[in-house]
Amino acid sequence: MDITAIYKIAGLGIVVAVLNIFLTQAGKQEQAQMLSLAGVIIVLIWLVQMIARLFADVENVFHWW
Amino acid sequence: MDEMVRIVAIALVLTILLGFLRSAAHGAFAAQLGMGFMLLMLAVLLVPLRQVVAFFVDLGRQAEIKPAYTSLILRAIGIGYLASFGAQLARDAKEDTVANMVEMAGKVFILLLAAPVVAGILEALMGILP
Repeated sequence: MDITAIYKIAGLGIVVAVLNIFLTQAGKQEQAQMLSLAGVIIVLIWLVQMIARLFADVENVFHWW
Repeated sequence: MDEMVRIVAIALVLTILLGFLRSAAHGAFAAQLGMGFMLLMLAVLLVPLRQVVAFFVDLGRQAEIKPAYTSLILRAIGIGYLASFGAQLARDAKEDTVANMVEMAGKVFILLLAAPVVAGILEALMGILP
């Protein structure tokens, strides 16, 4: 069981949330928006790899050769 | 048993983290974390599911059911697995339209798989009827 991927996503989310609060307090709304967008995209890339692996596994288990 | 304890522990941690992320950041991170958790769970559950599938395939072979039929059932289960995954993800992000469409697609594809079986049943009926 590879839980590290989950904790990686959660950690990135928390870091981005905290930085977001800092940037918003400093009045840099645009940078805050861009930062959260970048974070979302990074997590999306990880997730797409996980989804691809899951689909391959499902096909393997249910014999879709 | 060991796996179950671990899964419940991860679920507890995830619930707290998700609650924090939903309030602190935009909804996107919470949705993505939920997605990651779901992917992990599905990947973990595939391992016991593989054994169950192997058991049923073996049972079907002993009962001398045509392999085409067992493979059909397995495919339907696989489509249901994937469809429930996609629909639940969309529903988690409060996109009910997308979720309903994914479920609809699952139903259509299962129906498509079942069409030859329905044809076979009708053919058998025609053979029985005088």
